[in-house]
Amino acid sequence: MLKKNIIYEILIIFVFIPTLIFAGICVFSDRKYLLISFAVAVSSVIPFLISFEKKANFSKKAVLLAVMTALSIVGRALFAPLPFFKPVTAIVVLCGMELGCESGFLCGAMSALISNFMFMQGPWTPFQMFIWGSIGFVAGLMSGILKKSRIFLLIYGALSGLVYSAFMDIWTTMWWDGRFNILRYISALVSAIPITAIYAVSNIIFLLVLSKPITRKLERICKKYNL
Amino acid sequence: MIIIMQNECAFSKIHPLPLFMWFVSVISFTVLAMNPIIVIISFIGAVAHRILVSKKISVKSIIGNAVFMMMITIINPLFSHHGVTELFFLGGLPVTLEALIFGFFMSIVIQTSILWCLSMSECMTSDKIIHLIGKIFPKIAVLISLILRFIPLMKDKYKRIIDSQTALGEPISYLSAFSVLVSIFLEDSIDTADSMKSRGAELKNRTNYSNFKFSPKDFCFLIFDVIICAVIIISIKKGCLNFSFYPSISEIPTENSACFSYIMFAILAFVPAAVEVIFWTRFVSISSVLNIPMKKQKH
Repeated sequence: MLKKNIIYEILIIFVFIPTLIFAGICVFSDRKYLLISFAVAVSSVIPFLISFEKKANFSKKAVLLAVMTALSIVGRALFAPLPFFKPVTAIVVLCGMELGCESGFLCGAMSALISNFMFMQGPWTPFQMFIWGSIGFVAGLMSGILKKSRIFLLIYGALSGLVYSAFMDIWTTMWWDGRFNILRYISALVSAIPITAIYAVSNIIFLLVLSKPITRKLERICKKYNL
Repeated sequence: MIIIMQNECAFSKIHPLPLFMWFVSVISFTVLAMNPIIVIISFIGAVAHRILVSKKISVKSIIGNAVFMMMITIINPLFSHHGVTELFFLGGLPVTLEALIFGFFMSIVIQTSILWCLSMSECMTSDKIIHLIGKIFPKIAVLISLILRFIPLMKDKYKRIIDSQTALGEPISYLSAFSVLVSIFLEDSIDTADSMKSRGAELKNRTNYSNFKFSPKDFCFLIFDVIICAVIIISIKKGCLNFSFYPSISEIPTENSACFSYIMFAILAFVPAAVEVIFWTRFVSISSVLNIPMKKQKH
């Protein structure tokens, strides 16, 4: 079972991604950066989907993950009157911290995919999936430090707000003319400073308020049902 | 018989797989081909579909989009100083005609792809995405449908929690209500999981319910899409559609092979508008025969 899983992931990383990149270079020579980054974003999500397919004790994990993801989407909808002030990143970080890397990635990716059903799907969906997923994944990797120190958790929340904004600006820059113009990227970053600040502050506020109750409840559930 | 809701477009009745392929191919050609004719064809196709589907178009949105397009056009020359035709100098850096035209071109590209994305959001609803994903990743499809079910449940429960706080005369705290919501759903989640397991959610070779049938029509549409894509990709590969903005604007390619791929792309881009027109004229005639009252769509 495990072996098959690894073979799939190797196939994707060493065959699928290079093929896509090569096809992009050959066919659309002018706008290859856009296509390549798109291909990388899409294919980085796939290994996580495959590893979720191979999980034992699937239904409990799926429902728990579904609850966390639905909470983040509902939070996004409940706080819709306040622009850019959203608990999604906070919940994704907490999910990754408590339930592990893979769950964190899936929680972030699914939040992006499904909340875009309500807003709008587009070529940016894979990028949002990738970046929110990675935030959850890294939170899972650093769960030891994040659980121990509250200050680190808040710093991580603020940083993930900055990283999210910076990464989505890369995408905006490339969407513009298919190339990566550093000047344009910097101006996009500068013009997005207020939004980035709101992201960082809202992440800190939500983590400050939600981290204790949600961690306690998740730990209780995991202990009670031996997950 | 095809049943269609009032606020649905007829184009969305095609099977999800060819539909998704169609949207991917049109959006990627619009964004990647870098050819003005292709982009203009795509723009007209998208506008035609939007007009037919949304029926009511506000002047406000048109003005908003025009302002957005103008902003992109004006901003581009400030960042890009390539090109040979200098118009004037701004802070020691040249503002070129080529950069201005390229900005206008990009504004149309972005506008067109946003319009197609709007159509795609309306046509590719969540059930279709679940159907597509469920073929390859059945468990992810289950996960998505669980999430989609939890969202309205949670909204409803959240309202009830707030209501009960009000009824108890306590000061309303939205965050504590959210916390209560978390507790309730985490506790309930294990019940749901047990119920799912006992009904065989973890069995192998479990089939998914889906309401979509892959008919011969859909197969023909898929083949049609693939052939046109192949034609356009070959002509891009051969360089028939090459067009460059920098250093100076080149001539628009108009050889026979280029014209052939323009026509092919036009056929592809006008499919949704054509489907809409054909379907609604037929539907209206049937409904008038059967004397079904038709309500106008309200937003």
